[in-house]
Amino acid sequence: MRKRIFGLGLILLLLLAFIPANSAFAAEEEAQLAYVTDVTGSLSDYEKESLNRTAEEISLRHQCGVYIVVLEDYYEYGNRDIESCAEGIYQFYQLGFGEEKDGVMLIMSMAQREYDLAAYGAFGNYAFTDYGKDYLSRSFLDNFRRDDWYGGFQDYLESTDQMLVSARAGEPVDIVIDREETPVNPMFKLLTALLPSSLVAFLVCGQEKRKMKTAVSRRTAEEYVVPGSARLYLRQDRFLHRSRSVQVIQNKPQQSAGGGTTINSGGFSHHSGKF
Amino acid sequence: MPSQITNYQCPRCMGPLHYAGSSEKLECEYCGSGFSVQEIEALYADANEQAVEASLNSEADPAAYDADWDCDAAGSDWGAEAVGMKQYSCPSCGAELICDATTAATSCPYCGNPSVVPAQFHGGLKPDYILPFKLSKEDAVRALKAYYRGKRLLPRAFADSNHIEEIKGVYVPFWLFNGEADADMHFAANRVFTRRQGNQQITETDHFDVRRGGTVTFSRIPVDASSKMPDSHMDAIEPFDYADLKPFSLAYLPGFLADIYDVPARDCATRADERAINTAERIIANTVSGYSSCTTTSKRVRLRRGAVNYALLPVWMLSTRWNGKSFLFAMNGQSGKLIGDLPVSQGRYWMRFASVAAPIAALFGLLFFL
Repeated sequence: MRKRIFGLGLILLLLLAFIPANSAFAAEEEAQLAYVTDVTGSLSDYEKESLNRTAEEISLRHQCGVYIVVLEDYYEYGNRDIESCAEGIYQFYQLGFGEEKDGVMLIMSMAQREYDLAAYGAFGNYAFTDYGKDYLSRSFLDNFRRDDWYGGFQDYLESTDQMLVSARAGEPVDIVIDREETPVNPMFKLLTALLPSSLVAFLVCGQEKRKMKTAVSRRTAEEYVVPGSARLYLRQDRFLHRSRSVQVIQNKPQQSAGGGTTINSGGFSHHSGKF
Repeated sequence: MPSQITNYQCPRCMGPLHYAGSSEKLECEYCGSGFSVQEIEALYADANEQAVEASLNSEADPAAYDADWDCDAAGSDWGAEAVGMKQYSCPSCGAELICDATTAATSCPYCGNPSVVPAQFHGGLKPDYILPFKLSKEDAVRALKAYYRGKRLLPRAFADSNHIEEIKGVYVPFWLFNGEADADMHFAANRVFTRRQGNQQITETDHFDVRRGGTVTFSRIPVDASSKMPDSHMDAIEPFDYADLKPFSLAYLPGFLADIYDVPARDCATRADERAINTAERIIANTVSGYSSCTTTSKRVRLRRGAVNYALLPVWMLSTRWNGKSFLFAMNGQSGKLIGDLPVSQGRYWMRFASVAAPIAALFGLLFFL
C-alpha cells in the first residue's frame, strides 16, 4: 500500500516537474524518466542537459541505463529509506535496457544528504559489484561534500563509463582488481604441503606398525564379567555450586568476504551512504 | 613292573591314540578307530594308577640301577639342573625320555608315541577342568599364513622363506579366578552452559560431587600358571569360551604336550586382581553420564576373592626363525585367534610412508602452486 501511495505521489510530482530530455519518450503513453532528473534545482538547465546527453550516450553504447535522480526528501514519497525509494522509481518508470532492464541509478536525497547507488538486471549487477559501487561512490563523494553537484555527476558518469567498458570486456571492477596478492614464500608453500602429508603418513604407518605387534598384556577383564552382575547400590549426584565467567567479544574489523555482488530479493544491489 | 608313563594305545591294533578336536574322540593313527574319552578312561584307569604308583616308588628309591661296572667316572652330577628334570622310559619302545619336571604329556622322540605322565597330576596338581583342542595343527599353519597376509610392513623374505621351526599343541595350565569387586568412587563433574548476551559471552558452570557404588561379579579370569609361557602371548589369545570346559581327564592329552603349573595361584593373583579392579572401575565410571566433564577424585575397590579353578587350556605354539632371531606365535586352540610379533622392514616402512605422503603432498602442491 505504501508503495502505491509512493507511486501516485511520485508520478504526479515528477510528471509535473520533469520534461523528458528525450523527445521520443515524451511521445509515449507510459510514464518516462530522463536520464538525469533534478527536482531540487541543484543543476542548471545547461548542466542538466549536458549530463543527460552524456548519460544517454553511455547508456546506448553499453545497452545499460545510467541514471541520476535528485530528490528533496524521499520521505515525501512514503519511503522508509533511500534504497526502497530507488527501487520504486526504477520499477515504476521501467528503467533499464534490454529484457533484464539492466541499469544503474544514482539517487540523492538532499534533506538527509543521503545517496544510493542501485544496480539492476543481470548485466547491471554484474558490472556494478559491491566493491565496484564503493569504488564508484568514491569518485563523486568528494565533490558532493563540497556541494559541487555538477562536478560530482560528471565524475559519476565518467567512472560509470569506465566500469561498463571493463564489464563488457569481461572484467567488472571487483575486489580482485584492487587486491594485490602478497607473494608467499615458496619454501613456506612446500612446508605447508609436506607437513600435513607427513602427519597423515605417520598416522597410517603407525597404525600398520601396531598391527605387527599383537602380543600384548591385558589390563581389563570385560569378557569375564558375569552378564547382568553389574549392580549399583549407591548413586548420588550432589550439586555444589555454580561459577560464572564473562568474556567480552571483540568485534573483528569487517573484512571483505570476497568479490561479487549482493543482490536482494527484488533483484537490486545497493550501495548507500551520506555525502 | 609298571611304567611311570602311560601310552594310550588302540584296543584293536595297539596303535597310538591321539585326541582329535574335530571328532572329540581319541583316534587311532593306524586303523582309524575312534573311542570316546569315557571309554578310554575306563580302559586305562588301572594303568594310570599303576603309573602313579611306579612314579612314587621310583622317587622313594631313586637308585634303581645296580652297577657291576665302575660307572662313577662316567658323566658328572646334574647339580642344580637335575631339580627341573625328570627321566622316564617310553613303554612303547623303551627309550629314555628326559623332560621338564612340569611336563605332563609329551611324545617319544624315537617312536613318536604320545605319552602321558599321570603322576604329574597326582594329588593336588590335578586340574579341575580341561578345554579340549578344537583346531588342528593344519588349522594353526593356515592361520599363521593368513596372519602374514595384509601386513604391508612385513619383510618379503620373512613371509617367503619363513619356515615354521616348531609347532606344538600345548595344554597350558591356567588359574581361573572367580570373585566380586565392590567399587566406591567419587567424581568431580560439571555441566557447562554458554550463552551470548550483547557483546558478552557468558559461561556458567555447575559443579557436582558425584558418587557411585556398585558391585561387579567376575567368573574365571584366566591367568597362565606356566613360567615357560610368555604372559603377553597368553593374554592376547583370550577369550576362551568356557561353555566347552570339561572335567579333567588324561584321555584328552594324547597327541599334545601338557604342562603342569609352576607358578602358584597366589603369585598369579596380582594379575587377576589388577584386571578385575580396572574393569570394575571402568564399569562404575561409565554410569556417570550427562556431564560436560568428569574426573575421578577418589576410588576404593574391595575384592571379594572367591574360588580359584585350575584348568588346562589349548594353545598352539608356533615358532619361526628369521635372521637369527626367534619369533613366537600363539593360537587359541579353541577360537583360532592367532597373535605374535612380526618384524618390520624399514625399507617397506619408508616406502609405505612415501606412498601415503606423496599423493597428499602433490595435492597440496597443486593447490598452492597452480
